[in-house]
Amino acid sequence: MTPLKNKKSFRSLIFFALIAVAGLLLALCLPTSDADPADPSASDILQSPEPDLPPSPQDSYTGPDVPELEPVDDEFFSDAAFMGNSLVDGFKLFSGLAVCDYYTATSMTVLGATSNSCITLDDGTSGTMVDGLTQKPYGKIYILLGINEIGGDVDTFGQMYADMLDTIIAAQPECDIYVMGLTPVSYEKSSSSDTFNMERIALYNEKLRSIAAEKRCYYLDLISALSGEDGYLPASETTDGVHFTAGTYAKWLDYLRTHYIEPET
Amino acid sequence: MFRRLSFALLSVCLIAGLLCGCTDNTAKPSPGGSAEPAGSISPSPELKEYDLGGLAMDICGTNAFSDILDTVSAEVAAGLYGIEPGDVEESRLMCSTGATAEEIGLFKCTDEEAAARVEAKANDRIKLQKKAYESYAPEEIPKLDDAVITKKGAYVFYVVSTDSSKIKKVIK
Repeated sequence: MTPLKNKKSFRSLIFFALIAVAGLLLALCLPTSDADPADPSASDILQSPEPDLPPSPQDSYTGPDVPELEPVDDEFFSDAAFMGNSLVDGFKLFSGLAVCDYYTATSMTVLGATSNSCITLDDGTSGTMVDGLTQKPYGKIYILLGINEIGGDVDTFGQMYADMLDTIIAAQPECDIYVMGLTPVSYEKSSSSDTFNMERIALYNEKLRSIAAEKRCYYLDLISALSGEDGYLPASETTDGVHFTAGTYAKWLDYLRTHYIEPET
Repeated sequence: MFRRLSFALLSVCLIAGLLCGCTDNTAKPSPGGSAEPAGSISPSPELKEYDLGGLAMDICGTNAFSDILDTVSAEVAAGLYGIEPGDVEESRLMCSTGATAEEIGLFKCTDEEAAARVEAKANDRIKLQKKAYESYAPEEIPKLDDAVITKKGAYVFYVVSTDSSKIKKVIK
């Protein structure tokens, strides 16, 4: 091979080497932001993996119904608050559960809970029951309202209840909120009253359960917890067909001990 | 002889006088369940001791209640009435199902000053209960108007019943 041919070969070799290097550099320097989002393969190659974020509390929501679990002790309720009418007042008096906060009053309604300044808040000022529920963080809130409004329109009640929940949820975003369904009445009461009967109670409970689902809260079925085999409040456990004797509240607490959402660890 | 006879007669008289001066001071329970300690002078009403458990039973036994009353813990009782923990040594509280305003609240306070404060709390409770029941169950208002709220020394008694006259016969 002549020196001239050697030189040409060498130049060709250098030329092709330079093209190869340029091509490699061009491939490495292609901007990732211009990757076609419709092309998963490109984004998979070019995007760095996202860090594992903890799921938000609402991500674990599986519906309003609460499973039956192993019983918990009083300590479980130490970050809880109960709000409601005379039945919750009775729960406070007779259940034996004293580690939690109570916001209760005879004849309390949803309207009263949001508008009647009837309690003294921790700062010494007067406030509503909802003010009480939102004045400090709670891990669980249990609400029982409705029996005093059962003679009214269920949709109007439902809207007011939903609005009340919105206020509570906004102030307690990390809290498990339990909507307690209306409790059973006795057969004698149910069969003699156009208002306080199991049909109306079932109607209101259906509304409460749907609201709980809509607001990603939990629903506790106190009919199954407190009624006898016939579906009514046992006559031996009431004097007026609606309110309970002390032993019934112990049953109620037992139900709460076994129906709860396990706190996230 | 006469002197010896006189001396003997005088001795007999002295002994007989001493024997007649003794009285029977055995404690007898009063109808209200209180007990007077043996050997003591009968105390004035302000110093009378009450057995709260027995008194609660006696009050229940008057059948002056239409509702079922159950016992509430001392801790809950204090919270319900807004009583300062240091004001009460012992209490008996029996509350109704909530269907009525009937209630029995018996308090042994640390002293009469504390009893005055507890009595004020009892009067506050009546006012709150009237407010709660006036629209909820207005038939309970007469019972609240007729409530027995009384302070006896260091004791305060609060009873809402269907017949206060029966209660007053028990609480003496």
